Amino acid sequence: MQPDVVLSRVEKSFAGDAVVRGVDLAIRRGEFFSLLGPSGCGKTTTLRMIAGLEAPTGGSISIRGVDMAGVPIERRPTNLVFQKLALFPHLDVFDNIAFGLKLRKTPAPEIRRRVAEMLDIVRLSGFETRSVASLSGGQQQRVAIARAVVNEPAVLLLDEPLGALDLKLQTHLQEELRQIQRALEMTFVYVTHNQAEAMAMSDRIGVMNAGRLEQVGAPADLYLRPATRFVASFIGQTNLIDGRIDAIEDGKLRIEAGGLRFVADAHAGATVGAPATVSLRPEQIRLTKARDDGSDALVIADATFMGASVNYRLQGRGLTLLAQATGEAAPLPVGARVDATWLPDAAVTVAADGAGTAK
Amino acid sequence: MSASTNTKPLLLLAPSALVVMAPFVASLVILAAYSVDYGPNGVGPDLTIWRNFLSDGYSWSVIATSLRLAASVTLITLLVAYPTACAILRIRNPLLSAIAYVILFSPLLMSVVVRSYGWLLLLADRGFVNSLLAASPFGLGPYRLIYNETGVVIALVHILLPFAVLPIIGALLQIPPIYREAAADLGAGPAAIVWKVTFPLSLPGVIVAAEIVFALAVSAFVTPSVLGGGRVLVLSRLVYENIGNVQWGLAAVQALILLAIAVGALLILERFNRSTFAKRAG
Ligand SMILES: Nc1ncnc2c1ncn2[C@@H]1O[C@H](COP(=O)(O)OP(=O)(O)OP(=O)(O)O)[C@@H](O)[C@H]1O
Ligand SMILES: [Mg+2]
Repeated sequence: MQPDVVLSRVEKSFAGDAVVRGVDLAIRRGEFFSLLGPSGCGKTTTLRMIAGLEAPTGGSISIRGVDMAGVPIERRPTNLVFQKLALFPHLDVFDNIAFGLKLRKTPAPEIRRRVAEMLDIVRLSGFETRSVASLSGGQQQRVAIARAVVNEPAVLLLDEPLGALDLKLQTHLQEELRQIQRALEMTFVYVTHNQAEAMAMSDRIGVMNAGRLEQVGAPADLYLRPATRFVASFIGQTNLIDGRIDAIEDGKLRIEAGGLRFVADAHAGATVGAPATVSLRPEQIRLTKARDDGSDALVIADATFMGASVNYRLQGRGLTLLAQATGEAAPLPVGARVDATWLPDAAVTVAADGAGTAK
Repeated sequence: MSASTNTKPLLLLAPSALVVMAPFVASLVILAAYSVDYGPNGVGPDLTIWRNFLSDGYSWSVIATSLRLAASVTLITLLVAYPTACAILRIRNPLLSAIAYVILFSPLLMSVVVRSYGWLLLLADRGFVNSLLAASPFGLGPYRLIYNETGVVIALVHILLPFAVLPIIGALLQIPPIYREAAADLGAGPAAIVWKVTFPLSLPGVIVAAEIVFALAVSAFVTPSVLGGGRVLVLSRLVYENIGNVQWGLAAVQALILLAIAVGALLILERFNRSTFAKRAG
């Protein structure tokens, strides 16, 4: 697949404050790409730069091979679902959705048909003549989605479009958006701070933190091979354990931390004795009752019964570990002494934040 | 809105209502009393003055002149004021912007009498404007620009312009930029943004401007007197003359009709305001 939206070394600062720092990104044509990150990390700013609402203070953006530097907002092949919605207060629902089509001189019957189709998808049929101010937050959000999607742009930019919706509508619209995206082969750039949503919908995810793109990859990649501490802890739960490289053999690192031993793939520049951080997912940890003599065993400090699983907090050896056990008949009691084990390749080393290899 | 949410704004309005309404109501009562009182040795209160005034064709021609004048002044002022407001807001340099505001308010810095005579000089048959037109490559004119409605309209537009520009600037400033961004994102160029978003969203300000300008234009006295040279007869002029002639009853009738016209225009414009933005309120 050829790249559709390419950001190279994109920077944005407001009055000297760097908000987006050196973002390199190639989004493929027809891809559902999510930008995931905590509040204030620069997701909206990045999206607004792609839409043309904000000019980068450094670097360049191109869409379909065309450098966007001189292309005004109205002539970009993009449409944006605004985080703040920005529905036109003087227009009713129909006219809001038809706004883009009318500007492009679409014949009236076709406008009516396409608006009706969109209203059906966002489940607002019959709301055509309602004023947007009279709609609930969730209804307004759906009008905002419809107003952008109806134009069938090459690249659709969505800024947390499902935030105000209840779970059922969220799931419904997630499916609908995914279907529209596939059917029309649109490129979606989808901004969210909800990692579950990003994992469920995206072909690939770019994880942002403090204006930097920490890692780009498929959902499973990010979960199984997080590049940085930030990615490891932002996507799912994890144990981050600081230790030291004991040995390097056969492209594997042996890492020791608090008396626990880990094996991980070696990365370039690893040297024996250097500090290293490993990430170990709670569900990778197996717990067994400790042998009696085990003076350095871990103690269950806390157990939470979640239904399908039990979450444990373990303490000992100067560490706190989270463990998740599934399919247990009865949870282990708090205070029990346990041994924790994991498969040799369960742990991965992660770099410090901002040192990601986002490409 | 429920009754309880309505009482608070009413309470807040009370002081200004007292200051504005009390003299207004009092003068209304006095005017009404004069308008039905038929002379010092009359036969008691009746509607004779009203009947005489309203059955006279001359009265109606004066009312028509007043309305026509106020309506055209309002229309032209708005047409000039809107682009002016947009232009002033475009000025980024704070010094230039301050200068623009001073120029905008300059008509108000001059006494109305002086200003009117100034216009008389400018618009005279051999005045500045006609000389300019004659000297132009087209060799136009001379045009009759004073002692007729044209001169009155020109001078009134000049003085009333700031009253129209300010509410429009206020309305334009209140439009969050995100609406223009959304329009541009949906494919609207600069002209389409103005026409489809900025202008409709600024309509409340335009309507306020129309209300102020119309009310001031329909009751203007000095400007129509000076630039009309006695040939442009408007209601305010008749009121003035009748007071001079101690025809207080007739003056009261005309003053009340003038008031009715202003209030009527206000109600119509408010109505329009509400219907444009009924959608916004839901
Ligand atoms: N116009 C602006 N002027 C100054 N600072 C801005 C401006 N726009 C954004 N910022 C700052 O840039 C940073 C990133 O903002 P941005 O809106 O891109 O975050 P975000 O990732 O979308 O967050 P959220 O998830 O809360 O929407 C914030 O610190 C914000 O205060
Ligand atoms: Mg945002």
